[in-house]
Amino acid sequence: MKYILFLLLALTPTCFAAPLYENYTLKNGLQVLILPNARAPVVYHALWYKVGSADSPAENAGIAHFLEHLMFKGTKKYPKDAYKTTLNRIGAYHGATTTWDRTVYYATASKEHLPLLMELEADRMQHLQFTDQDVETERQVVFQERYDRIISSPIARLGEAANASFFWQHPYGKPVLGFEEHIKGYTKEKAQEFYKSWYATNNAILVIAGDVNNDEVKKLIEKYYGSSQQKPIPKRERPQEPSHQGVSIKAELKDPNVGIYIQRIYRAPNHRDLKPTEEAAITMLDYILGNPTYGRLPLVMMEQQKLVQGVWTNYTGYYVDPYSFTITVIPKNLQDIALTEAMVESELRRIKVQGITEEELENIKRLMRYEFIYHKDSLYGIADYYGENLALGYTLEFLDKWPEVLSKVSVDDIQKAATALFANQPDVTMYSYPIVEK
Amino acid sequence: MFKKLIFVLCLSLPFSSVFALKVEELTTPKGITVLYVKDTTTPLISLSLAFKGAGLISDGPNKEGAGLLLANLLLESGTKDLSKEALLKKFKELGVLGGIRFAVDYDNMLFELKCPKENLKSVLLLLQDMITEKNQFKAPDLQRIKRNPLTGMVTGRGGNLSLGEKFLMKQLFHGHIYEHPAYGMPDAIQAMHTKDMQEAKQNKLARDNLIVSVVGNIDNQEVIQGIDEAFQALPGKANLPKISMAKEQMVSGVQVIPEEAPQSSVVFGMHWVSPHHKDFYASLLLNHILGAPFTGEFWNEVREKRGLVYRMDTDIDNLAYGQIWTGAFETEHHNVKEAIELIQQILERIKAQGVQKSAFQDAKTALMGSFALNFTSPDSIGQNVLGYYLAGFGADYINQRNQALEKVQLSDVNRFAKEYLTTHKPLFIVVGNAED
Repeated sequence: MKYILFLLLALTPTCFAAPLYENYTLKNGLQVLILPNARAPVVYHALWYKVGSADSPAENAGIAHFLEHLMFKGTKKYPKDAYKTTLNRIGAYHGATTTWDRTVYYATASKEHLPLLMELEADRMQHLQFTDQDVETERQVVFQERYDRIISSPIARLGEAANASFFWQHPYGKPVLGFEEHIKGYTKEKAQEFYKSWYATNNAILVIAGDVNNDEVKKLIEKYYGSSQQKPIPKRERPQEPSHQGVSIKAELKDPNVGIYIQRIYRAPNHRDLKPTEEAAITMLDYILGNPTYGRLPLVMMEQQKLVQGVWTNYTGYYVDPYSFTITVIPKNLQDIALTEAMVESELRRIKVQGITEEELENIKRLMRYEFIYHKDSLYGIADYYGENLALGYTLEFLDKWPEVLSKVSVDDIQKAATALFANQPDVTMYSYPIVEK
Repeated sequence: MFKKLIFVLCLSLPFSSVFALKVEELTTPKGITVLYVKDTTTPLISLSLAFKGAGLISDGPNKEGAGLLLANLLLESGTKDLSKEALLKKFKELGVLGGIRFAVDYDNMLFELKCPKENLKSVLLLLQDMITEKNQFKAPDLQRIKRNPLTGMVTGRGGNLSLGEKFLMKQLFHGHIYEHPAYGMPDAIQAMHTKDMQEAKQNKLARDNLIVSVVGNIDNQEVIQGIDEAFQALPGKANLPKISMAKEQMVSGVQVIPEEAPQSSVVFGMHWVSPHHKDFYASLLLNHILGAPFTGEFWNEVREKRGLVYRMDTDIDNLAYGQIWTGAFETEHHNVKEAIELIQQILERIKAQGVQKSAFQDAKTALMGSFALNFTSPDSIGQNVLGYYLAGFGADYINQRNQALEKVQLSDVNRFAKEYLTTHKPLFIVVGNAED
């Protein structure tokens, strides 16, 4: 067993309390990250699988999420609801989430319960069992979940349609939960097949954070996860998105129960194709345009012109495959929609032609430095920062150098990023209007 | 020099739930109480401030809501040099990314913020400008807040009372100030002037009722100096009314408030024992056995076995002048009667037969195991340490609580249940159109 002790570089002079982590990989391929923190006698156990809804077979979209539900159905040793009842009995918090790109199972408990948390998680990684009845029960639960999250919310329905128009080919165009038709089609066999293909030590990252002794934790990991065999994992080759050939799509929703809402969705490259500095430049462009305190759009449109209730941007670069850069505007009045859009356009032109000032850049850099510090403040913040990003394919070296990369971005880098990103009209724009269609 | 009241060392405790953190209770030369926790794992400083007794209980007759307005006004009116917007921007520049959060509850007025350590001095100076240096309030600022007094408000306990909860509090605390919601009375709020705010500030905010919890990688001298500097301009003594303990109102049974709604909402509650009562820890276990979500008796019988409700849990509220035990659930109108009777039967059964040994042991494990989960970030440590202190527990509660629970025996819980449930029965308030 090979492991290397890494010392996290101090992020900035202010970040003196640089945490130590220990990182190594088991013989069976399980990547392990231990983050000791003796603040309170608790331990956080999170197992991240490098698989998500975008890895589901096209006809079974969302089955990754469905499997997440079934993972609570028990094993031979801990049958039925034993997972939940055991954790409730020891006063632990637990849960799981699925995105397009990863699935995580986590629990937090008083530190003496770490062996139990580990045993339960390692057990269901290998020995999950569920019945046709379990599949039926959870199918109803997922229908309900889809109803609560999407169907009952007009804006979420609009977002789903806009997303489908933004991805003609890539599975990001299908909802993480799948459409009704997909949910109806799940079977026990399909779920088992997905489980057997993707759930293995060599497709997972184990993150342990809290009041632990590294040597004891390593022994426990060897005991509970060490005997599990690695297996061949499918390649994550999703159908990539073709060029939309300059076509710009508008998605509209007219509903008396919604507010006015405009979202421009631009295609944006991510770490798969970008150099770190380029990725950092888009990340900062997001702040330069949309940050509530320093961003140009809130300053001009909210504070000065008072035309909008809200305006923000979002670079969704932290995905396995390229995703989007969005600009969202909430105009105060229906008749101002064209005007607010013209204002956004004019701000994008200004940044492409004139770039940004050193002062703006310094404000953002200071803010991001603070955000990094905040990120590392809680037990979960730092553990999830590593877990999530490792599951998306970033390396530890990259993550530890990231603050430094950000600090070196120049005003030119940002102008260049803006020029490339906003060369064309957005691929998709979504609008909602609080009016009844006649 | 400052006087050290208590210095808590974590001596070797018998089980593993030991906090590496120590809480020191200090008094500054200017008379401010500081709960100091050194945490070397974070570059941030978390500050939680409480003006003890500055909540609803000191608002005075026909001024209910004065504390709430005052807390809002302190932020709304900025400082003598900065508007509210400029002040908030300045805090952001200093790395107070979460802003200044504040809350007013029945008993206290609270402020919270986090900042990078290197900016603590500047942040404290801004707080000084915002809280202590202000001598004049302006009418337009107050007017703006009155239009929507709950804006920007993080109300604590009693913040967002439902109709049923309001009714329950009114019955349980009849004749005591707690019968009013913590956010005051609308008529009283509208009638208040800047003069009232001036008075409220003078009476409620002083050094002797200020308690500050500080968590971070900082030494105690620095904390004490910074806090004394920031708050030295406050009066030395708060001028607070004497409040007496709430008399236990022996109300029970079922009351219905008719209202058109798709479901009925039910709240129930009764008076409970205080943290100083010899059976307080037994009462914590009894509450868990009865009302914990997923595992409690109520959950098992009412939700799992009969499927009458979606949620079902109970809680203990430690107010400074009265403690209550409350629970809540929603159900179809025609199920209300059955659900309430089930709860009453469970209470009768536990009173007569006691609790099961396994339920007792599970409750102990769960309560002891989950406690440390409240302390995963410095701000949660600061808030909890301050919260426990205000609720009447000692500064070292985090290290004593599980030891106290460990000592409780099954016979203690059963004796307590028998005694207490004989003299106390909950009052149920049904909001909806329940049948019968």
